[in-house]
Amino acid sequence: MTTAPHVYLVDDDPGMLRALGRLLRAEGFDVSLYESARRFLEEHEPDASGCLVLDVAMPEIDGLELQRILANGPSAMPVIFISGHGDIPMAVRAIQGGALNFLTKPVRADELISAIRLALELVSRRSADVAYLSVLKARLDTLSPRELEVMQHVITGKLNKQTATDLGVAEHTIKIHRMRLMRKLEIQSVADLVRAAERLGVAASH
Amino acid sequence: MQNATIIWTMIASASLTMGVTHLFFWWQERAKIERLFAAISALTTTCYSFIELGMMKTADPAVFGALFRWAHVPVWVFFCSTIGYIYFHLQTGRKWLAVMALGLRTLSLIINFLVTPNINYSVITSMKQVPFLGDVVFLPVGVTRPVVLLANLALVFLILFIADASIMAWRKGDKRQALMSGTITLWLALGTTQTIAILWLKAELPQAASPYIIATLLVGAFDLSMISRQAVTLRNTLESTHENSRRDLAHLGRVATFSEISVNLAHEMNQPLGTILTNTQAAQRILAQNTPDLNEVREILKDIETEGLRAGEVIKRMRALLKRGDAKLEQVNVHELITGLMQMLRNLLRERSVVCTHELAAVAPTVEADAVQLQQVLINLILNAIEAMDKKPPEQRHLKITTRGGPQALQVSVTDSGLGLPENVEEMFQPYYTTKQHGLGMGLAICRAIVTGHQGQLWAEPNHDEGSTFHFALSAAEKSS
Repeated sequence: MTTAPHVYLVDDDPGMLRALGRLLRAEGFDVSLYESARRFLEEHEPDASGCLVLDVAMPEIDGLELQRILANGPSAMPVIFISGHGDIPMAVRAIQGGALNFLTKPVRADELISAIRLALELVSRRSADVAYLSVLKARLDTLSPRELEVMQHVITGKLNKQTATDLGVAEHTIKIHRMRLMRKLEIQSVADLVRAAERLGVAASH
Repeated sequence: MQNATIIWTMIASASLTMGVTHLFFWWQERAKIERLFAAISALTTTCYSFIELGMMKTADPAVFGALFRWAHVPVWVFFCSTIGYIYFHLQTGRKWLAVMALGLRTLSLIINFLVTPNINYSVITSMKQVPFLGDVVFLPVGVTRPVVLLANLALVFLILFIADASIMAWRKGDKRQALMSGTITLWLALGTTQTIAILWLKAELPQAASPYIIATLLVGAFDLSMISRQAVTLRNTLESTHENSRRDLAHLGRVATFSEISVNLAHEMNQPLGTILTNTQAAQRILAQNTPDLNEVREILKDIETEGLRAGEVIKRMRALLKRGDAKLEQVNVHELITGLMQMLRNLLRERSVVCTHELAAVAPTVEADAVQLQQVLINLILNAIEAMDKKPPEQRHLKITTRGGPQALQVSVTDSGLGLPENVEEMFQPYYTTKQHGLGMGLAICRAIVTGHQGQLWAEPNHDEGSTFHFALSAAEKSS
């Protein structure tokens, strides 16, 4: 279920909020507007995906504070800050907190739009990644204990012969296990297998 | 009863006092020559009134005749000094009238000393007792000398001279002086009438010109005292120069305040401009679409208009803050003032993590005040409050603005949760008192000057729990207007 790239705008100045909303809608983004950080926290879907465009200076909960709250939560969306009077320490704090970009008002439309595109690309790449990982996990579960053992040996770079000696079986058997596990995981090269193992958290045997 | 003696002695002493006073003032400011003439007139009157008293009290025709003869000397001096006084005081008058008056008087003075017993009488046979002012005085019985008409004519010319000079002064616009001098002619005319009545109509009256003369002196003295009043007015003008410097100080204070919040104002300016820019960019994109949503564009234009006006407001507020001008009293709605101010300081409060609450009176109070100055007081108090809370953790920074309005008075209070007041509260209101590193230390002093200038009061008190509250009270404007 892929939704249109979604942008969450939070700015306490209603005029600015409307203007940004219009601009981004005109660019084809799906936009939700929030007049305060609190409103956003209360109203947004917990599993929402997209990117956040935050005003830094806001009453009660400011942009940086909202970033911190969200970083501790389950859904970590990329954040772009817009600041009326950004100074360097503020920008540094924002970037250290994981912000993707820190723009100053008056914000140039092209700059903002390309920053949002980048953020959304990241989101989709990240979500594709997440999807691939879960597929990979499911495939990993289909491996037999012996196949998993063989995989752990292969990713250390051991030859079939060494693996056979370690496991006390014939080299030919190892070859068959190896072929099966590669097919099950739908991986062609050892390099890809190593990468997948890393992401899946499969430990190499010594 | 010695009424005549008492009155004439009083006249003599009064004129002596006036003479000495005039002389004193003339000495202080010697350019004012009219004062010298007034002094001479007064001192001469002292002389003359004693001679007159002697004339009234003597039963001897010879003594009377001699006294009357000598009385012409002070009268002649009086003529000279009066003409001088009028001429220099009103700075106008026809010279030929003055010359006629003085010439005739001088001529009659000369004749006076050439004939016996004097110019008024060719012969005085006896003295007769008559009641006068509850006293008994002596009148001469004799024959009036016709040449005394010259002296009478001199009086008429003097009156004409003064009257003429007064009219010219009036036309020149010196209305008060003209009126005063006009009054002198009236008294002189009365005196002259009496003299003529005695000499020619044989009125049963003593030669009693002193009361009329003292009346003219009083009028002159009053007129000159008005000049002193003008001097006082001048002093007031000087004091209002102090007022001016206070105004300049208020302006300076505003400039200082302005520089404190200018960054904030710049941001306040940036906000509407940013919104206008973004709206414009959005509109351009919408219009570039195949089927542009014109309603949306219309909305955008409306927003741009609003934001433009908002930017204009910011500029107006800045200008008001920097304007150097006379205090302009107007009906000020204090709540509107506070609301506008909070908008102006919104970002500053946010930056300093100060939560601001209002507790405003139900009815918006109106005061007669200078809006700019009042705003300055409020800004100063709010900035001070923010400053006072800087050392507190952000969640403990509370600012509260309260208005309490009765029909007569309005009280505005600015409460902070800061570090409180110094031990000697009044010392804060002194000039050059500051806790800031770059402060002028004039803020509260200026605030107090402004509030006092509005017939109000500004004071501070510690809160029960923490921090302090600054109050100022002003009298509410009349609702009738």
